[in-house]
Amino acid sequence: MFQVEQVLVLALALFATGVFGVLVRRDPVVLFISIEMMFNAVNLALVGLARHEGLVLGHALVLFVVAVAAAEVAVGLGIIIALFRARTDMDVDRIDELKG
Amino acid sequence: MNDALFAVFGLGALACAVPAVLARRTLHAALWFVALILCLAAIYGLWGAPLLGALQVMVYAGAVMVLFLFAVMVLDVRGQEREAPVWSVPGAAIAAVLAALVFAVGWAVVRMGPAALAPAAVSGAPDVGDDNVARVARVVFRDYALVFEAVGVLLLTAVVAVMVLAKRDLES
Amino acid sequence: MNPIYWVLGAPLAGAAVVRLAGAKLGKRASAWIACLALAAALAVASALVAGLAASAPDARHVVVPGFTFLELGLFRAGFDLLVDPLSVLMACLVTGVGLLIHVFSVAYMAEESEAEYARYFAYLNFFVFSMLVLVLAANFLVLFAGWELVGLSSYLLIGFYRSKTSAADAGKKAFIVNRVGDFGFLMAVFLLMSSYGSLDFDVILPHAASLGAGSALAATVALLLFLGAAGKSAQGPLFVWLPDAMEGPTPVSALIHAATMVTAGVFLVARCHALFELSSLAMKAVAWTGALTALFAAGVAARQNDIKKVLAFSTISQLGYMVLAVGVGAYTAGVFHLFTHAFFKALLFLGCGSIMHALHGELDMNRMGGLRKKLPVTHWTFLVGAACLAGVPLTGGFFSKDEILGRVLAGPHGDPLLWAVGYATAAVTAYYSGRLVFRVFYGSTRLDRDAFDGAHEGGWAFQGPLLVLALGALAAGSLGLPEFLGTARPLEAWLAPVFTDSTWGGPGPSEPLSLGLMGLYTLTVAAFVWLAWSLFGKKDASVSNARTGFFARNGYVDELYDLLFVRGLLALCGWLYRVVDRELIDGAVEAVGWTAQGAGAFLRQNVHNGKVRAYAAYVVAGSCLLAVLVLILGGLTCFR
Repeated sequence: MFQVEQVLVLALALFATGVFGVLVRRDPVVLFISIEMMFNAVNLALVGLARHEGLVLGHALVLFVVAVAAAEVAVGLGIIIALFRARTDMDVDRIDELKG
Repeated sequence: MNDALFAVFGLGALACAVPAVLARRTLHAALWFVALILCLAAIYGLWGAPLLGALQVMVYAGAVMVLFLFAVMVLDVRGQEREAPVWSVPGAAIAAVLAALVFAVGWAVVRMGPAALAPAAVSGAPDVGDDNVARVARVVFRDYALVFEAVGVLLLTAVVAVMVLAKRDLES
Repeated sequence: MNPIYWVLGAPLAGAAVVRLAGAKLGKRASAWIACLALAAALAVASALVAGLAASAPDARHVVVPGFTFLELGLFRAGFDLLVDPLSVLMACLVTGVGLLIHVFSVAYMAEESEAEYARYFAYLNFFVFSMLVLVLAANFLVLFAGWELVGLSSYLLIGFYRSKTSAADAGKKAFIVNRVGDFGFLMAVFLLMSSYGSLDFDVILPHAASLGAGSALAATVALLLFLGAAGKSAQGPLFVWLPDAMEGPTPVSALIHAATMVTAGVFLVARCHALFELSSLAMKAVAWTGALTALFAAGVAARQNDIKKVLAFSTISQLGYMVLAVGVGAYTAGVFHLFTHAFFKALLFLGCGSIMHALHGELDMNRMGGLRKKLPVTHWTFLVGAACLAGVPLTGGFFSKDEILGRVLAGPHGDPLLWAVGYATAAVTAYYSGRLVFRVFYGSTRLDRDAFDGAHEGGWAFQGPLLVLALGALAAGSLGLPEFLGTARPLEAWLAPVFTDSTWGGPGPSEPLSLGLMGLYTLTVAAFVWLAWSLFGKKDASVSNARTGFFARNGYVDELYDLLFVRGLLALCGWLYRVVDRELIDGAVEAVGWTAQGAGAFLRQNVHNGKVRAYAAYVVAGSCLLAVLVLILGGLTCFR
């Protein structure tokens, strides 16, 4: 039987894992992957709630989220590549020109 | 039956998520992530979102992750140093704490809404085969057509942005 | 329009016209306008006297309600004026003496420029207006308005010679010392206001007893009022402004600092006698202050060489007599002396003015002498004035002083000790009066030849007022001849309705005692005048130039004030500037800036380190916090 709490808890766990990854990893690509994980967690939650409420709007939202996430991935990876092209170290912490 | 499958794929998703975050090599992380996506696609299909499940595989696993792998390969080409697995303990601890906090807050919200989360009368359950696609289509292209168009513009913007980024790169 | 507004309006209009247009109109016009304004006021005031005299004695109290200044519920304060025997008497005195002084000034100030001439007469008229407001007041509000206005006029006139720093300082000193008194006055008014809910005399004075006879409240009110009176009348420690006020033109000294403004304090006590009588402590304070001031000032006068300063201290001393009189409940006697004093002191000051005019501004009596033949009119009128001052028998001054001393000794609240102080003062007064006259007019002259030959009387504008005042001084005595003679006492009868409610009044000394006292005074005066003659009047009398000694240095009071108040205040100000302002306040302000800078630097270095992951952590933490907040506001239903 479908129990919405279970789905939401799973989504939360994924989200939390993603948060952990964003905060801990220094490799920019893995960082980005963690962000994507957070997106997916949200999508999962939306699907679960859509099923629970009986609304297809949730699916439409997921569609839009996926589209935006894709765009964001494109741009983000572009930035990462631009930034780290000339570096030997793949360390996000070294990019601190915006400090102060 | 669905429950068992959900248990399998759910645990599987978690089992993929953790290594994805902790893997030392970037490539491994990406691959674990792909596995995660596939598990999620299965779950979508299970709980009445077949369209989304298909899209998840096609777009996410198919396009986005391929993009990731391209990036990994580009950046890895010069045999760069792997990330030294020196995570500062306090840093990791804080991160863990924050992650747990997020989980706790979310869980509290979930628990808070017994009324909101009570099983609705299953009228218009969205998991009836073909109807799902049609219904989603109706929402996207009719009720929220403007949003759809906006997302399209957004995608266009992203394309332009990437082109600019790449161009600058070439010049420098 | 009620005639009383003419009394006030004429001098005010005169002041305005002369101030605004006098310079263009020329000196003659300014002089005529000012003098006519006063003449008009005098005429109307006299008519008011006649009007009151024609009505029944108990109907001689007319309140003329004026413009309502403030109305809050039951409280109403308005510019009400009071026509009663005391107020119209004072009004006549002010306008009458004022007119004579205006006439004298026409010639005395003739050497000033048109603009300065006009300014002088405008201020003089304005002063008369202010004094009239004071004496004609029907409530404390108007009285205080007049009180402040005469203070202002005094300041303007003392500092009239703008180019002299000493004159400006003297004006400031007068104003500031007066302020101390005004503080007391205002406090008393506030207390009265809170006790009675009104400022009108007709509400407060008939019901004075509701303050409680002998209560602390009554004593406080009376003493505070007396503080104000002491400020204006230069009594007690507040006398210091009067000698310095001699910096102003001499006719100003005659009008303001002899005849009118300084009597405002005495007037106040007389007007509010109902309040004072509630507290025998206050009355004692008044009487003793007056007596001691009188004696002290007389002593100082005896050691002054500047003729105007002698008269200044003499004024303080004579005011002391008046204050002493009202302090023992002898109000009519006090007003009587006020009246006679106005005549002879104004006379003496104008005489000084005449002397100064003849000698081109010389003020030091040690450089005069032998002017008797050169300035006959001045000499004889001055002699009359001095005789009144000393209390030579049968002059006006004699009778008024005798009246006061008689009641101080033998009246219902008399005190022999007070009388002794007053008697000693009279002796010293005789001495310094003689000294003044003899040094200036008798003996061989100490002027150089040219100055002596060139000395001559001024025109009729000088001599006329002198003669009128001399006659007045002599005749004024007839207003209050001693009781035992059985003749009419017009002044007492006239003022009776004002003082009927007084419980401190009473019969004076008996006939034998009175005669005995008169004899004693006569002998004393003769003795001390003879003493002055032998020291100063003969040819080749010795010259003493010493400016040492307690009395010669004005009792060192100015030095004391400088030490106590001025230096202390300056030190305090210096400390406040160095410590409080620079260190504390500026330090606090700078500390704020320094803290902000420090906090900013800390944040910049430690929080904004440019590391993406740190920023991400902040975002996560912040969002959680917000979410928790939402949960809490939603009522924490998750923990049901």
